[in-house]
Amino acid sequence: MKKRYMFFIFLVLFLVLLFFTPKVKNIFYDTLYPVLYPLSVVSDEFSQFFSLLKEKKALIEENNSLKKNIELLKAEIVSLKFLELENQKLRTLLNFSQSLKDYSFVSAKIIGYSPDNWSKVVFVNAGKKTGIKKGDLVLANGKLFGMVINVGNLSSKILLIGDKNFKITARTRKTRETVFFQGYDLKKGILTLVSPEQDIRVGDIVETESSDGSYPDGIPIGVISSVEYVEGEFFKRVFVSINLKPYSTEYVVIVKRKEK
Amino acid sequence: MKLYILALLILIFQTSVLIKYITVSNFAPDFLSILTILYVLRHSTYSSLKFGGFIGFLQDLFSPSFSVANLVSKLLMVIFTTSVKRVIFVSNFAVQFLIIALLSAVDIFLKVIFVYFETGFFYLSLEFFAYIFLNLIVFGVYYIINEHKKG
Repeated sequence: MKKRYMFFIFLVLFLVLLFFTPKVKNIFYDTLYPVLYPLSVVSDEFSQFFSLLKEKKALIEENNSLKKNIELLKAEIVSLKFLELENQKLRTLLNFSQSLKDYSFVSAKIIGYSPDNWSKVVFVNAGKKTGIKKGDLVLANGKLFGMVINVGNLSSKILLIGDKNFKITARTRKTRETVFFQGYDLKKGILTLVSPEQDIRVGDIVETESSDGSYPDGIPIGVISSVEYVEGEFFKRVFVSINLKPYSTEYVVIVKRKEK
Repeated sequence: MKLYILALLILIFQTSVLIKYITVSNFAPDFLSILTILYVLRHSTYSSLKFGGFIGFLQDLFSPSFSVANLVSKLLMVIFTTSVKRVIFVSNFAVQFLIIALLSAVDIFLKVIFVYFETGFFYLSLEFFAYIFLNLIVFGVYYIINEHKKG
């Protein structure tokens, strides 16, 4: 009996060492892709069918208002094109680096979630074939959503900004203080190593700041919700409201650096 | 073997977008924990350790960093349930209900400890009750269906 237990323990240790390497994990995710993707499609079809039944009248009204909005947006595009040209001219005059020009955007659909409640990760239907790399940032609703941590051929794993393992260099928009953002839960993040001298204000926006250009600057992460400082402590305790809703987010945008 | 395939299917369901329809306060029930406990109540210790290890290992494959939190948590679940099984009459609904509630809480606590060692954050929230509540609901539904089948 003892031998059997020992064998079992060794087997578990062996499997842990063998299977927890990123490459093996990626193969595992790719194997799941043919199951997860059709399930997400089926789920969409069902929810669309039921929402169609429920909200036919509301949909017609929404469609009409969307048509109006499209026209308004078309007009806005014309004025934005004019502004873009003007902006380009001014940038050239100021010799300003156009950081976002070095990046391209890929949209992807969320096809899966973490099977436990402790790691905040999602799976998307875009992988190496679409040029995604480990470390690319992911946006949703115009804000930072997460970072690519594993890339398979067809799917990728995104670590959400609400996960405690998520860390990124950031800055405050108003006071331009460099800070370090770390995930806390789906509602808030925390700024670590904030010294008492730093000008951190409630209501200020925290946005990305890259020192090596591996990701674009200025992507909003969240809003500072509280700043606590106890006299005599080395650092301030700063919370950032992020209000992440992974279960109601369907599509994300992956920011990838253009190949030179 | 059938139960191992069932565990795989549940894992796929828990990973798929279908799970979002049964979340409360951004928490989803852990069907695999309930399956593990129910398995232990009906099988030997050795067989349960294998099954719990298998489930924990599968869940850990999805974790963002090198982590064995689920593996350890599931193995402890097996050990705890086995020791309870030896001293209490566990086929009683109330006892099973309590075991599920208690082990869900232990599961939370273990993972909080793991997160603390990984990141330095000790984080306990009232929202964790949503997780225990969901697990109990899933168990309740299973029990009703099972009783209905027997009847």
